[in-house]
Amino acid sequence: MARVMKAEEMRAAVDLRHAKTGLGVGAIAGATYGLVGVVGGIALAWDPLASATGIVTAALVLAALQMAVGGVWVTLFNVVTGREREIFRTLRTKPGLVVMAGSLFGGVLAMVGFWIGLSMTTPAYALAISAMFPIVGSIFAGIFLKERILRRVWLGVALAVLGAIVVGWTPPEGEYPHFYLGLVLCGLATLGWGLEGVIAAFGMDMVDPAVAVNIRELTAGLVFILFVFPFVVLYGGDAYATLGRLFTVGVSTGAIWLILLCAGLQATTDLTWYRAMNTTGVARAMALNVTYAFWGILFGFLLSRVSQSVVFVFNGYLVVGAIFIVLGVILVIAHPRELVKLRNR
Amino acid sequence: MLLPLRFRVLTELALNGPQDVTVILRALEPDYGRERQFKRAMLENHLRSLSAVGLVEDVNLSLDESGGLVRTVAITDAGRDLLKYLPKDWRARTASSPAAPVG
Repeated sequence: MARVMKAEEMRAAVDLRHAKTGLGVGAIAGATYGLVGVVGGIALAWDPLASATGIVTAALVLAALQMAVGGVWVTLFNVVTGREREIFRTLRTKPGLVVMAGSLFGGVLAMVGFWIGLSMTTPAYALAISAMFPIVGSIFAGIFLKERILRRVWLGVALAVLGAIVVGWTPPEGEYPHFYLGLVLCGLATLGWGLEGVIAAFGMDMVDPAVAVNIRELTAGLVFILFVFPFVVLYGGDAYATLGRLFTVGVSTGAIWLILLCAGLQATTDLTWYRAMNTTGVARAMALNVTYAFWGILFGFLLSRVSQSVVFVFNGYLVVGAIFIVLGVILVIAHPRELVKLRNR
Repeated sequence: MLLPLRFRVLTELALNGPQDVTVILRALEPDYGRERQFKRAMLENHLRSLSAVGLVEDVNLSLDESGGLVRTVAITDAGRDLLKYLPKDWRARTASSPAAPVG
């Protein structure tokens, strides 16, 4: 009897450790994504991205490189950890194709929608709308994955999202002739990221999260370069030329190293985000992910002290938003024991 | 064709009934044994993840001679439902499997 009780205790401890690890990697995902934004912002201010023609060319080239080069980083990670054969095995199964489909929603559709939407509205609206993806993801996770989401967690997700909106808020100025179309495109980004999370989480029921990320990034990178860039060129952008200049101008300005760093951070954030979704559930992982808004501000402040490429403006929105995010996260991560069973089945 | 390791663990439980990680390691060793990912900790992590999303469940807990936890796990109905995503040849194998029912 004592041995049975001891075994029960040991199981509870093992399960709790697994859940806490998930929360830890989810927190790392949010922080590193904040850093991706700051480093990516610096890269956009350096040639060749700074001199790219076309409104969203530089942003889309950066997004493509984050995915494609990030995919190479993740491949290296998988080779080092002995998972390289898993990549091809997974691609030959339906769960692998499911993960691929998820990457089209989040890695491509959402990114394109976000950047074009931002160009038609303002960063304030684009960031506010796209930051709502955890709510969309949580709703889908509840419906399709039967994820167990308590009222307290819902409140935490909502507060974290509200905080992310407030942190990024700047009163909009100017005239935008395609404003409402821009809002729809930003909504597409929200939908894309929300859907990606749920689709990927379903795929990861059967495949390793690190392999899923590998497929996600390489698929998205290739789709950008082969199918999105031609449209950028069609609308007057010099996507391929900018990509080419990265290996000439980019080497002399140092932008290429920033891109490598940015892609490495993207790989880290995606590896931890996917692992968190698999371990703590979509709702919690997304709430932790959206803390990037807070981390982005913090890293922006720190880097503004050492680099003139980073401009940091302090205002009251930052403080209020940060408080909302912290309160939201506390509600989300409280009682890790609830994470031992993620779904109602 | 070999399956992704996590999917293979789930399939193994469908094919051969409830097992603990040591037995699963031994069963999959001929196919995956030469890969660096094939470690006890990795299989335990896959089992833990499968359990968290309700695809497998503990059917017995015990302690081994050195006081380590031994969890015997079985595939659940939700796990069995995912076997429809297996490639054709594997699906045929699981369909004709004489594995013991869940629990």
